[in-house]
Amino acid sequence: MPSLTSLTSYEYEAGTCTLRLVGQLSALSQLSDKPVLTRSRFQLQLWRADSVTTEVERGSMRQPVLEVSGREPQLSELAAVVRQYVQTYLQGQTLTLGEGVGQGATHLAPVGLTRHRLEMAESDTPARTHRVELSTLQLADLADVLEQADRAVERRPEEARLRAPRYATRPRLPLWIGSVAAVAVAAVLGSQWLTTTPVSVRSPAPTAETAPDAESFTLEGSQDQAASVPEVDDSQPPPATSEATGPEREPTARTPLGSPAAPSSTKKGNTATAPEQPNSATPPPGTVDSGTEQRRDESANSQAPQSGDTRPASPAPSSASEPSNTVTESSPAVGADQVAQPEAVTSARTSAATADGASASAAEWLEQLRTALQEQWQPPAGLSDSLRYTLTLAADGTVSALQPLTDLSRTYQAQPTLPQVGSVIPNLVRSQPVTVEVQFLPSGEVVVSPSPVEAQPQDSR
Amino acid sequence: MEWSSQPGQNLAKGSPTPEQLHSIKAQLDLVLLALESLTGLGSEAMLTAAGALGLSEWLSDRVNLWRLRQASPLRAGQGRKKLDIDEARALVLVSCYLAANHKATIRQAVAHLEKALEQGQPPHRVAILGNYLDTFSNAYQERMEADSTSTPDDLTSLALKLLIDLLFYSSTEGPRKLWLALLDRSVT
Repeated sequence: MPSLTSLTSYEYEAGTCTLRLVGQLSALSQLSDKPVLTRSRFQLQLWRADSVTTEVERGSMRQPVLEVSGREPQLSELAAVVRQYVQTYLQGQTLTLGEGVGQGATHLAPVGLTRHRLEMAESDTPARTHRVELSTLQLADLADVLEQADRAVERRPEEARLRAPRYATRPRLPLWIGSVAAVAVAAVLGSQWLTTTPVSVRSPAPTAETAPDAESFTLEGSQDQAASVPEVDDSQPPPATSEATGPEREPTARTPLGSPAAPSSTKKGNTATAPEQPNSATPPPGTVDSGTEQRRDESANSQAPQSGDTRPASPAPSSASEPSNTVTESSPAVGADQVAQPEAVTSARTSAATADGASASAAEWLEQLRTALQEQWQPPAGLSDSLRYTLTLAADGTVSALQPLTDLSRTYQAQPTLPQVGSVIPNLVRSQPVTVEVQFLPSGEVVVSPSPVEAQPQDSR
Repeated sequence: MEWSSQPGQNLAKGSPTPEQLHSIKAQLDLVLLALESLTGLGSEAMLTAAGALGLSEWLSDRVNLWRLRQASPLRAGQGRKKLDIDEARALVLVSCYLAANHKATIRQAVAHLEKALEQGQPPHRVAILGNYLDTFSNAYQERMEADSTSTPDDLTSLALKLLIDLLFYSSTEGPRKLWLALLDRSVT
């Protein structure tokens, strides 16, 4: 389950203007004389002055002349510009200001005697600029709400956003680094193990039923190793828990999910496996990607007891078509699993590490996607529930489909802060199209999880 | 809205020089004159406001208030009282307090002004603005020293500028805005 943080919202009103602040209440609030908001967002609405006077009559029919939302730096910028503009006006001797005031993408300039042109860019979509002419009443109200907010709440800028602009690529290690490191560690440990660990036999001899299975479950490209199984099976020490799960995940790592390449012979081994177990290399649906790594570890740990019964030398059948192969139960087939072979074990460990690496890469990719989507996502005003979509990305990161999963999601599908079909999310290049399930929460958070009906995104290596 | 019983508590702490105070005295008197002209309030309302704000020490009675306002260099007459910093701050707080209390009237007048300008209509043809401009002009000419260089249009511009200023002074941070404007004006 995603970890939810409590959000605090503040609303300020003055005549024609409403400002709403939403953010997380920082622990610093206890030390400050006013609340300290972090990761705050704002929503600013300005109405026509005459519509305010007839508000009761018009009710909800009134439309704001300006509705803009964004994050903290933009609000501070706007507040500074308005404050400076008003103060410059007040210290002047004439009805009009000579020149405007600007800071960043926010500008305020006089237009005639009592009109003022405000320009400000959307913080999440800088290309979108709001231009609106304010009356003096609106300007005064805008200044008022900004001052109210400044006085009542301390807003801390988002450090992450200060460091990197939207869609900026954080310095990341290449995705394959994790896999390579895991392979290297597994190879070193494996070689040490094979050369220094005393030989012990823990498992009984393979039965007539299981021995052929072991041969038939030979991994692709390791026929020679499989052929040598009978010669070295007694020399294999019991595997460590973490290694025991490796061979079972190996096919997942080597063969893309959904691929029809599973050999028919592998199905023979499936009879000894637990079909209920999902692919261990695939995060469970609904997983918050930020916690994917942790969940993967938990998943591995939860399999440990079963892994203890499972022997790594058992070249598990490819799970390409049968993900249920990932975890075996105590069954007659386990006897065959207990037959070990050094090279096979090494290979299995390597493959296990590769599987871990692939899983980690997938998790990183999901995190990258989540971050990109969250930076763009701005919950519209009044959104009461999460928006759920199935998002399909082409190999180059282009959004090829956005399928709403609820009626509410369909209503908001055209929101510009949602990924639109044809738009490109940079730095998410994969070897193949990917479909994930995405939840856009009213709090501004985004949850990405692998789509249960689609293949898990595979690393393009 | 928070109002402090200490004249300078909500205001900038910088103390103006005597030259600055000279300009501040004039500007404060004009702000109060605009407020009087628009809302019809008198010295009694100002003293009541001072009492509500705990500023009676500086604005105790009509004579005291009259002497403070008479300190404006624009005023006709001789023997002006010197205005000290606390008295200036007290007048700022009272002015903004009264402006906030009459915010609806000020907004209405500004809204009419904007509408009139938008339609190319002379402001004085709008009732609320006409009355305000007349009252302000009369009071100004009655109380201030005659200035042969100023025209009726100058007075109208001054009155309308003060009207819009009052709109900003009636806001939450009105006292701070007025105080900063006074300081800024006195050095420019």
